[in-house]
Amino acid sequence: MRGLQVSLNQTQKIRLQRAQEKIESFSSKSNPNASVTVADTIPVNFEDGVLKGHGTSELDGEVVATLCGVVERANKLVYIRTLRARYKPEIGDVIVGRVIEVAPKRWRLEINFSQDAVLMLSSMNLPDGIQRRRTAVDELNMRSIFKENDVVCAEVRGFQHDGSLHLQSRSQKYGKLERGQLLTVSPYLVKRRKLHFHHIEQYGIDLILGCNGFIWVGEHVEARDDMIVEDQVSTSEQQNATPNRYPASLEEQERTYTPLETRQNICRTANAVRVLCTLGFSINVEVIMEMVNLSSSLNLDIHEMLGAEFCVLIAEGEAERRSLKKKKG
Amino acid sequence: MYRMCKLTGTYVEIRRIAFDANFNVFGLNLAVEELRGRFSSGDQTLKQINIYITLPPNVPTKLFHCKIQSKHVEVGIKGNPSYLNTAGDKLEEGEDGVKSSCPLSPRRHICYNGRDKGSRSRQGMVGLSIGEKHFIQGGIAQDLRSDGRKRLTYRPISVETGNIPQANGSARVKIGATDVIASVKAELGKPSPFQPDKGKVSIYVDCSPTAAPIFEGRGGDELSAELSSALQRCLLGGKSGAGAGIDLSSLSIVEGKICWDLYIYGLVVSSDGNLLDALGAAIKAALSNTGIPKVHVAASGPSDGQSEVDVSDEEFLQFDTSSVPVIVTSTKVGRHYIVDATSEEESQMSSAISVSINRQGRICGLTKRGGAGLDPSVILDMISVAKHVSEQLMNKLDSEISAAEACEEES
Repeated sequence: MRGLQVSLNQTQKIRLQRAQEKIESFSSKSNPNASVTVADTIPVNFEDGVLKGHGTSELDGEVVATLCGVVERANKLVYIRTLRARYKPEIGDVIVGRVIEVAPKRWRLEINFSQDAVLMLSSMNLPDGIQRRRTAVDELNMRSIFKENDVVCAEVRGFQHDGSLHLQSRSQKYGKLERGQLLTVSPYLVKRRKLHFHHIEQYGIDLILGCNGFIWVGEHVEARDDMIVEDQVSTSEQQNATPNRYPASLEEQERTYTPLETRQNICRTANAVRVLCTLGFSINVEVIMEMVNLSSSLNLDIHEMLGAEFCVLIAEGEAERRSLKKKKG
Repeated sequence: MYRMCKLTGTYVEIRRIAFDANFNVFGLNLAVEELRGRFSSGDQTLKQINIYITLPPNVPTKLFHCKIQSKHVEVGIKGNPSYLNTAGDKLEEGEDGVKSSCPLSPRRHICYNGRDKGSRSRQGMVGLSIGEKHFIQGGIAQDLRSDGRKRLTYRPISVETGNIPQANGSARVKIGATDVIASVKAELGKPSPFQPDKGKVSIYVDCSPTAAPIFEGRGGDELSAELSSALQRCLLGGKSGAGAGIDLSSLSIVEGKICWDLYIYGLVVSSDGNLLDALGAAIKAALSNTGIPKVHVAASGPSDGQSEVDVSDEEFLQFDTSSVPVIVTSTKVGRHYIVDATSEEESQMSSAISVSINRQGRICGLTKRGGAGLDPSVILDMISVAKHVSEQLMNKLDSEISAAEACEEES
């Protein structure tokens, strides 16, 4: 397992190895033809004509793999999809990114991809919620919406001509993320699902699984309806509200801190994600919630979740789960 | 990307250049005087001038604006008042514009290679948003840090010894994601005339570019120098050799003539905060792994000449590390102190104190980092916190080191 920072003693090493072998035995039975290593021939029907895609090349009249991965076919195209690839964006993906630059009429975000993504001012809901044309004043006030280093959640709208991404964040659930922590995992661990925003009521936390490998765990923030806020609050108060959100004095800051219990849940969830990342298992809500419940039922200290014993327990649990799935299916 | 301004028939004299602390050019004072009909007189003519300007951080190069015409020079950043605008300057008749008295010396103008993405998150410390910083500070105030640790808990420490077989002793210590390697090499040398009965020890630290891209080239020199001097202060004691954590008199072979020189090298492979503690632990582990070869000194030979020294290849003396101190860094964030800060937490610190404490609970060295001032009572408080933590750390390290050595002997 890559990057395992904990040192395991002898028994733990043996248990981990056994669990890993069990997991591998379940997966290898499915479709052995699909995975190839370098210099394996790819079985192709030559009469149909074949388009050689990424990771393939022709050698002695045969199509041969140049990468290690899984063979994917789409009509006549044959290509190799590597397992630990860079994030490959698709339209409609939910993404979490960090603002690195405020440029004229747009923000540039870093999203763990080969290029930066662009979020246009026009693809963003204005703070007052009204749908109108963006004026020069809006452009000058861009910094009041997102500054450098802010964490933003958005959706992929499309691709630009040079391959970089265009993002949009038109609904209330997207936008700036505060009061929490951002974790980075490998993108291949987050599979595309129907739902990427998870509000876990029993703990009061928000969990956003970005398809690019950035995962946000934070305190739950209600998606405000801006129109109602505008009516209730007078303009002068609203102007004071934003700068005072993080007040300078220490006592006021202490009052605005996240309450302890929510913080414990946030830390447990974050540690669960970290453990899944080191073990290389896919990240989804059910697994994370199971791990959090397991750790609280075992009365583990939160930082012990990153220790050797818990890692091995999780690996064994995953092996169990896959064997059950195999028996059912 | 640099702007190349081709000027023919005009002279550009660079009169004054304003630099900031990083030697970036923030202001240029250019005087342009047109030469009329002087080409034939044999004066030096500048046909082409390259101006290299390093922009302030976070400014994209598209916004740089430079206009040089025969009678008018304007340099600035779009949307801001220009740094330099000579529209109002009047040309003086008959003045000789050729002045090469203040050329740009090669050290002072900084070439700007490629697009300046260097100040962004990808190439250095990842920036944190205000919300995340607030979260980290809140966690420290509530005694629950981002990974669930308490304020005074260390991350899991793992120690391996004997990584470098060519060295006399070596060790690799990982604290969380921080990874450092220390190696000890012993060579024969002459003791210093002020301390003829003691050996010499020198400590060097190098930050590898694998730890962070900013360490490439000369970027890591500052941090390496700081770490080396902090380690020397913590482990080696004063100039007279008194108070050293390492017993220097055990390194002497022939008083006044031959002694062992220990060279301790530390390499930072991966950096996630708390480098000083990790290096201190690695040096302690490497020293306990060190075997100094046994030396037989021939009794014969002239008294003031070279003595015969026979260095044995087989027999080794284990170095005595019971008095080597351990380093504990306590970082002040807000009103509270934490131990073993990650790099995110270190970015929020106001100041940090690194204390090296030996087994008897005595302080061997003290370093303060960070720009914020500290009240003396706060310093005493932080020292007592560090002392309290150091006992557990010392025991943990000792058990890890003996486990690692046992592991090494098996393999």
